[in-house]
Amino acid sequence: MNPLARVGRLILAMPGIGLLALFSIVPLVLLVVDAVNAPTGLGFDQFARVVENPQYLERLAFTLGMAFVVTVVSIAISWPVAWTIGRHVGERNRPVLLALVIIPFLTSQLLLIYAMMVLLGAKGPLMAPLESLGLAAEGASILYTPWATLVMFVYESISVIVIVLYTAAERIDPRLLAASRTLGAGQVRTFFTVIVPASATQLIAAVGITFVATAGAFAESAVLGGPEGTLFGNIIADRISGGGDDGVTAALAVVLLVASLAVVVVLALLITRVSRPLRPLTDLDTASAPDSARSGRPGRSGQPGRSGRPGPASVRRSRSIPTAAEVLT
Amino acid sequence: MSRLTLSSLSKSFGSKTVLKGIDLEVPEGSFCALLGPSGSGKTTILNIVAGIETADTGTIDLGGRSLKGLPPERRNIGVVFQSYALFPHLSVADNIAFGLKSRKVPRADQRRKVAEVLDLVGLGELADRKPAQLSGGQQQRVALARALVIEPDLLLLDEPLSALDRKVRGDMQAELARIHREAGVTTVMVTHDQEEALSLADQVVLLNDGEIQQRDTPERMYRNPASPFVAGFMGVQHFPGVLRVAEAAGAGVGAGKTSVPAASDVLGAGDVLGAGDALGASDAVTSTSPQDHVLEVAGLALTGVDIHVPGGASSATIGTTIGTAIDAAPRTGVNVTAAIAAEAVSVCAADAAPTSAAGRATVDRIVFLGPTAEVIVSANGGPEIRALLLSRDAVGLHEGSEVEVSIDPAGVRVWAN
Repeated sequence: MNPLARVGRLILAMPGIGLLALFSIVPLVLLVVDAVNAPTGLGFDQFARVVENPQYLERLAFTLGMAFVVTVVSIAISWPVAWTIGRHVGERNRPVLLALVIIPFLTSQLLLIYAMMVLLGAKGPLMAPLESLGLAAEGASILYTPWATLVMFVYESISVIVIVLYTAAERIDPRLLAASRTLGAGQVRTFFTVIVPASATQLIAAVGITFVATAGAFAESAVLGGPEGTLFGNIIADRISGGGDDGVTAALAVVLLVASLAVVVVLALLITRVSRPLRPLTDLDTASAPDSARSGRPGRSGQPGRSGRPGPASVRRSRSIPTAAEVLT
Repeated sequence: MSRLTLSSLSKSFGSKTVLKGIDLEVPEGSFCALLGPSGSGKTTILNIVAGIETADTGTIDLGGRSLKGLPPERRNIGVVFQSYALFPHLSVADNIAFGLKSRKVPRADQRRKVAEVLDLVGLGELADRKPAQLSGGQQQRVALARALVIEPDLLLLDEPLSALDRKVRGDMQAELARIHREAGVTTVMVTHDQEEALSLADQVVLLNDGEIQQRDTPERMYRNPASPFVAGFMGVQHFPGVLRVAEAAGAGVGAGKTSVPAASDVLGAGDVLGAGDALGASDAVTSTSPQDHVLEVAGLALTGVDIHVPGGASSATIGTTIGTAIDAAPRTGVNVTAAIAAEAVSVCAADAAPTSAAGRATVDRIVFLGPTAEVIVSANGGPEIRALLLSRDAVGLHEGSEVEVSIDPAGVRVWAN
């Protein structure tokens, strides 16, 4: 490759790299510095104050639980939609449907939250008919409870998850599904042995995006969640807006970040694990050997199927599967 | 291993009819090739038998059980898909074991069966590889092993060799034949490649436009194509021509004494999978003596061509039609289509011509194919005729050579237009 072209490409990439570094890495570093820099000196004192407070831990567990439920429910709702658009809708109509799907994503979040308030409110368009049918008590509503926050989170997540899982659904070779069926696997078995493994990358992406976003959210719960629905994000937000911008707040933020990333990693490993045959016939020592040990084999360098596959996602996947197996075995 | 019987299978996609009442019988343990151009409906038949698509009408019977309404996972049919459809996330061994696992075969048996079938396809040492690490030919063998290991009642192959390069294809063709012989499973292959069909199948079914054009042994289909379409698809050249009564025989024919062949003889010749009576076996049913007719085709004049066309169910009518038409117009003759097998055409230098020569022609070009050579000639400004010679017989011929062309009447088939 022409060295000049390489330099040119690097120059073009610089603004993006610079901005990413400035706005994501620098604040993160500052946050960690704040968290470990207690008035009593460097150390984990401020973390101790977080961990020793049962109220904080209770809210952390509640927040992570909420994020988990939102993630699972959103994926369960979105997958059939993504599958239908990706495999049973003509190519011409797909862009229209996908555009409709992302409308909520393009709408102001505040607007969506207040719309949800109106929708869920007592005597609102949802509750009034339920009330008149006798299915809901007079003046009842899930508004100002954690349930309202949950509904809101799910609604917000669906758009993105549908798009992400659509890319997986669309790419699966229909002959793989037919092959699975002719080999005696019913639809359920085919789902777990063929569709989930083929969608693992996108599934992990969907989990990551939804879980982290939900675990860090606070606006939804502040408006819709009521006193019971306070999330960890609300605690942090309140401390910041209350002027109590001390190291403990930073420690709270770091704890939330690490905890939610840890859950995402565990979920990703779980998906990777499910994507592999439960009990491979191939001898275990060779199957779970580190990737590097296998790369020396002849024929591996010229993997036609892998190098030919487009997109960085597939590259990431082919690497992540063996490594995850290593960790688990 | 079971006999497969399809009766009046039909299928439409929207307003397009892709299958128009297919009847087909594949005997137990035999190898049937569904041959046809793309869009002929051959893959649709395969998908319907596998249970991936459903027929609008008709029945499928496999070894005495009806497949109607059975989902693919309960049909016990092994399928090798075009481009193989191996599971990319599973090793070779786990790909092959997939069907055994769905059938809850005990683990020890899984190992044993996978090892056996890997042995059968000659891939023992590759059990731990991922599909992406295999060559096309190896992937094809894995797909075959995966389909065979479940001990299917029927094996379906969808264009099994089309994704391979020429040399590997030749090897795999021999492999497929061997594996079919050893496994003994009833097999249906879909292909658009006539050579593949001819070399592998016991029975070739030629489809066009959702209808069966001819169903025959490979040899009979090649030698006795039922129609110009079949001839063309088998790689036999065909031309428009005129069939008339020879000058010398004119006096006798004028009396209108052409006799119609006995119906029973004709049907016997058209019997599917008959005892392989090849070439010329039905000469006896010729209406008038072959020598009485002259076939004018591609600038040549052939005598001795049999005007009865065996090999198709409707041959009686064709033979009769030509016979009657010639009786009506012995001098002007009838317009026909004549198929001429390239190997029935021989070409030799003009000075060494045998007496039976059909005419004089000029060599347009010579295609050297190794053991054989294709000599393309044209006579009197007519269309090009391909002659397939042994290379040594083509020595001394070159572009522009004046040659005598003779054609073995046994390699010629004639249809009334």
